[in-house]
Amino acid sequence: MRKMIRKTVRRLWETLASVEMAAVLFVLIIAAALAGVFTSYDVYHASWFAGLLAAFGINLFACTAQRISAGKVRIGSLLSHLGILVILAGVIVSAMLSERGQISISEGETLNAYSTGRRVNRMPFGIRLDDFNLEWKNQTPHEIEIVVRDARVRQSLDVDVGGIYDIASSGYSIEVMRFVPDLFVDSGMNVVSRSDNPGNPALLVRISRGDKVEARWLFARYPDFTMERDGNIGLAYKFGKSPGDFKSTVTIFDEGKGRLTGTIEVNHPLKYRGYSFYQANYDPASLQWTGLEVVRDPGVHVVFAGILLLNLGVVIMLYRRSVKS
Amino acid sequence: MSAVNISIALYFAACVFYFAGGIFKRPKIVRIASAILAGGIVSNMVAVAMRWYMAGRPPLSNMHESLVFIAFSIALVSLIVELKYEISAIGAFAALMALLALGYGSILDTAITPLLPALKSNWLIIHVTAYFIAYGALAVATIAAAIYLVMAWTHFSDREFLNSLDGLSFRLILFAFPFLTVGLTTGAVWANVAWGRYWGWDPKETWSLITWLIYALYLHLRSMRGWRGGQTAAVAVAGFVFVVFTFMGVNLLMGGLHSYK
Repeated sequence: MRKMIRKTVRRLWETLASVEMAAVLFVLIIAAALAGVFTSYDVYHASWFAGLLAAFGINLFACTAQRISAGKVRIGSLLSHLGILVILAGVIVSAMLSERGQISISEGETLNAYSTGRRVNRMPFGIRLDDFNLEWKNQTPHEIEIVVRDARVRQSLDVDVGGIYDIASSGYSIEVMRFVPDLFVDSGMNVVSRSDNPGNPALLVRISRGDKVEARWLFARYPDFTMERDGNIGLAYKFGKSPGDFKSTVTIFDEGKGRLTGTIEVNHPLKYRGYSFYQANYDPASLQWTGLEVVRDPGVHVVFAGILLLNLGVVIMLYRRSVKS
Repeated sequence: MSAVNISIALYFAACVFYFAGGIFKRPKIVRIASAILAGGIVSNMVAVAMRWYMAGRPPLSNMHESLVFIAFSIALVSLIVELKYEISAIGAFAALMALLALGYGSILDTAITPLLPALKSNWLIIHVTAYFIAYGALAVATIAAAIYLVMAWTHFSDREFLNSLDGLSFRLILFAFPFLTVGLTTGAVWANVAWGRYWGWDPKETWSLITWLIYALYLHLRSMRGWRGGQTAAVAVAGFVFVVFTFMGVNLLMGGLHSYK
């Protein structure tokens, strides 16, 4: 009986450690990942997909252990396979222990909790937004693209309400009369704004050339409409600035004292006591608040250690092969 | 005439000379083709350098810039392989591939735009450069594998030549794999810096992982199962379909965080 169990265990172990098993798992994982790309089904967070990855980890572990005990393992191969195992371990740590959420924080305000969407988590310290700073790529939120057929002019202009702009060598000049963020025509045929939000941004401009004067509404949502209307001059209106750099300067308060002041911007998170703060969002209208992503993920260090091992392993493998040949 | 256009002309000429040299079996014409290809590589490098200077940042941020860089990478790997292993059949197809990449790149939007905030990082250079070295080598490996498959299929009998193609394809994939690994993993590290997570199953991430898995499978089938020749050549060619889709298809068809056009 004992012999039979031992035999079965050994056979199971050999199957688990086999290259055939690895190849099958490779193909299954690839197929599953592809299914996730091409269908709307969320493969990557399904428990069977996690099972597949776990099976892959077990196979890799068994494989590596077997080769070590057989004394057949080379250092590059060993390091890279260990690296993958460590990465998988880090992924498990992340899945079990990581927390992430958002905070929206106004200038001068101090917060010590963040929302995960489902609940509010407290942090063991507070974070205050000292300053939010945004640099725009363009100067104003109104950009007009102008095409003049007979003068063969194509030009882009950043314009301000009240400004008058001469279109180079075409004889046209454009005066920006009025901006309506959410244009709506009421029952009395009056142009009104339904709200302050840019639901249907429109710009009223006066186009003049010589004594010819024409007023025209430009709609950011329907740029082609205004391009086609006139034979000679076409105007397309783009509303909204595109952000260049945006940064939040914050101070961390721990046990009543300001411990750390730093600037958070895209690609430059701020880290404190295992928490990382990422620049994620901002208030586009008034620039009064910033949106930060809060992440606490102890798995990251494990994953990065695995990545280091994996890279070291593959580089050594390449080096050994090239020396050999 | 821009450096890109000069490269296009030279890659085209190199391609013609390679094919002519191959068809008429004239080593002299092949040597001329190699010289023209070298010229194309130099002007391609000038195109990358000039754009880097003009933009004031590494030119690796949109489809046009990527294609100019990848053309350079493919042509360079091909020329090195030709000089080192004296297999000239590769050059014709590598020049053609570089030509197609540049040609397609030149009809795309070539405007220099400021970098998106997320791309302003030192990781950009190492992440993208590692990938482009890998892709250049994989492109040439695929050409060798494809020639192998066609020749084996047409019962071409020069065993020695077939073996050298097979070995070359394998060595190039072996060379590319560490770069593929560095590209994939620095991507994860960078994603953690920029987006606060090292992996998010973004389409580009998923496709690049699949690509990496296929080449890992290739190496294992070869070293552990002893696959050779046509079997591994087929895997190599299939792998490159995934490379092309990861590189271009995801941007053009799928969107996501990596859809820089």
